[in-house]
Amino acid sequence: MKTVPRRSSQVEPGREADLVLAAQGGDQAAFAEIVRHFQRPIYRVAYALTRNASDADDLAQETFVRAYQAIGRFRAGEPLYPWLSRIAVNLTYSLFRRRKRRPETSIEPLVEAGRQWAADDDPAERAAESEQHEQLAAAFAELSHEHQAVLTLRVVEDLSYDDIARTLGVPAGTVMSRLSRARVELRARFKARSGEGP
Amino acid sequence: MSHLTDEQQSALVDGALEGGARAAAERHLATCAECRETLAGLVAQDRALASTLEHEPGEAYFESFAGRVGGRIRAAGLAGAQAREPEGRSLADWFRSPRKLALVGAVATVVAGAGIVMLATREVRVPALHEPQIESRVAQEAPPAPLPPGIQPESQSVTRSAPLLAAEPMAPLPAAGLAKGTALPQADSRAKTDLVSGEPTAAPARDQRVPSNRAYEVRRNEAGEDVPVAPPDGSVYRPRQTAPAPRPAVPGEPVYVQKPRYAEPLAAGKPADALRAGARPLPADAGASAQSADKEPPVEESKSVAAPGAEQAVTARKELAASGRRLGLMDRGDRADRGPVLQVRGTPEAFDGLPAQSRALAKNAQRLTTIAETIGVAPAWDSAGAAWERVIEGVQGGPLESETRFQFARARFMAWQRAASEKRGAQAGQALRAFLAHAPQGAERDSAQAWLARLEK
Repeated sequence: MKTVPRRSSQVEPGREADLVLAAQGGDQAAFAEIVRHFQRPIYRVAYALTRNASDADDLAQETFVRAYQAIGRFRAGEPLYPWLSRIAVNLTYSLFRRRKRRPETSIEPLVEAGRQWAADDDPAERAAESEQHEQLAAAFAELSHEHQAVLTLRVVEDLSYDDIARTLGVPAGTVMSRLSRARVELRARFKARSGEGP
Repeated sequence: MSHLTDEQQSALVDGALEGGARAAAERHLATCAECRETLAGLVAQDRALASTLEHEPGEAYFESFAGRVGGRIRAAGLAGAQAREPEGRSLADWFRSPRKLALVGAVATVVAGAGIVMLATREVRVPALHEPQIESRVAQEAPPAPLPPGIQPESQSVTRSAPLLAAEPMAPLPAAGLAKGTALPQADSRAKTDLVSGEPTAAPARDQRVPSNRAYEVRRNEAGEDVPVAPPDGSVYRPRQTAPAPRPAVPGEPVYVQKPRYAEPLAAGKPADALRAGARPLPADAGASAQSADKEPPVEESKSVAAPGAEQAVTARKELAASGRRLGLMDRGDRADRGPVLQVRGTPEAFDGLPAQSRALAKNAQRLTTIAETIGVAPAWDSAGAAWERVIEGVQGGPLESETRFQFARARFMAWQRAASEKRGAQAGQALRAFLAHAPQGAERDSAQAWLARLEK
C-alpha cells in the first residue's frame, strides 16, 4: 500500500545502518548521533500523545534509554524510526496504565498561542482559532489510545501506512481501517463539542 | 449514486488510493459535492489536528537533549549495555523477558499440577468383598488338597465344612459363656494340637496358604491356578504364617491329630467342659452380615446357631432358613429350650463315607453353596454349581448321586434365577433334567419339576 509521506526521512538509509552497527559495536558517538537525528520526531510523538511537555520530555529520554539497551538486538538495515516510535508509543501506553487516566490537556498550546497572539495583528481571529484547537485537542483526548496513536503517527509524523503498521505491530490494512474510524470518531466528537467541523 | 465510503475518503486524504480506485474516486468527486465537502472536512481536520498536537519546545531544548539521555544512561549504569548480543540466545535471556518468564512459569505450573494429579490418583484399590467380581472370585476358592499321609481322614473333621445354615440342635450355652466379648478366639486351623497331649501337630496341606504381595490372598489349587481367598477380616490382605511342614508319622509314636475348632454339641449345664472342648460362643453379630460366611471358618456338621443374646444372628438365619424352606431344602425344628434350629435335608455327613477326594469336593461344594446363599449373586451360584458338578463323578451309581444332582441342579437354577442368561438357562435345564431322570419321588423332585417348568416358561 503506497502512501505519500509528508515529511522526509531523518537519516539516509545507508547512513542509518552504519550508525546502528557502530552503536552496536559500542560507539557512544554513533548512538548520540542517532539520538540527535530522531529526538524531534520522538518528542513530537510523545507530546502528541500526552500533550504535556514534562511527560513528553521524560518519555522521549526514556525512549532512547530503552533503545540503547536493546539496540544490540536491532537488525541493522531495518528502518530505525518505526522501531523508536514503537518504543515511545509503548512507553506512553505504560504511562497511561500507571496513571489510570487520560492525558491532561497541557497549557503549552495556550502558551504557544499566547506567543503567536503577540505576534499577530488579529487577536479575535487568533482567539477563535485557539478555541477551535482546544476543542479539537479535547476531542482527540477522548479517542482510544489506538486511534490517538495511529492519528499521531499519520497526521503529525506523516509516516506511511507500512511504517505505521511496523510501529504498531498491526497489518497495513488494519492501519487503513483504523485511521478511517479514528477520523470519523474525531469528527463526531469535535462536532459534539463545538457544533461544527474543523 | 453511491458516495465514497469513510475508508475511501480517509485513503484519499492520505494518498493511499492507487490506479483504478483512485481514478474512480476522483470521477465521483468531480460530480458529488457532498463527498467533496466531506473530503475537504477531513483534510482540514488533519491539518488542524497536526497544528494542535505539535509542540516546539525550542532549539535549546534539543541541543541538550542528547546529553541528558547520555546522563540518564550513565546514571542507570547501562553504559556499554548496547553491545550486540551473540547470535545464540542464552538461557538467561528467557528469564530477562517477562513474557518468556511467564511462559516458563506456566509450563512449570502445568507440569507440577500434572504430577500432583498423578500422585493423588495412584491410590491402591483395596478390593471389597461385596463387589460382584470379587465375590465371584471368592466363590472360586480351590478345593482342599488331598490329605497328607499319616493323617487319618477321621481326624480331619475340622476341615470339613457344611453350610452355615445346616445346623443341628445344640444345647444352649450358658449366659456366662455367651456374654459379649467373652467369645473364644477363632481357632486357627494351623494351630493344631493333639487332643490328648496338647502337642502341636502338622497342618494339612490345604491350609498352606501362599503369602503374596497381592491385595487379596490367593491359594493354589490342584490345577496350579491362583484362586483368591476371602481375607479373614473381609477387607485387606494379611499375610499368614506358614504352617510347619507335615511331620511324617513314625511307627510307635502317637499320631497327632488336628484339634477340632468347634466342639461337639454341648451338654447343657457344663459350660466349663464345653469351653475346654473348644466350643465357640456365637458373637452377637456373627452370621448377620453378608461376609460372615467368609469371615468365619467352616462349621461342623452339627452346629447350633441358638444363642441367647444373639438375636440379630438368629434373625438373619431365620430369614435364610425361610428362604431355604421355600426352596424345599430345609426343615425347621423348634425346641422351646434351644431356640430356632435349622437343619439341612440330606445331612452333610452323608458324604463322610466317600473317599477323601470326593468328600473334600463335596465339602467344598457345600461351603460354596453356603456362600452363594449368603451373598446371593449369580457368579457365586455358578461356582457352587461347578463344584457340585465335580462331586457327581465321585458319587455316580451310589446313594448320594440323587442328592448331589439335586444340589447341582439347584445351584444352576439359582444362578439362572439371579441373572438369567442363555448359557445359565441351558446349564440349569440340563442339570434339572439329569436330576429328574434318576430322582425318586419326593419334595426334591417336585421342586425340580417346578423349577424346570419355570425355566421352560
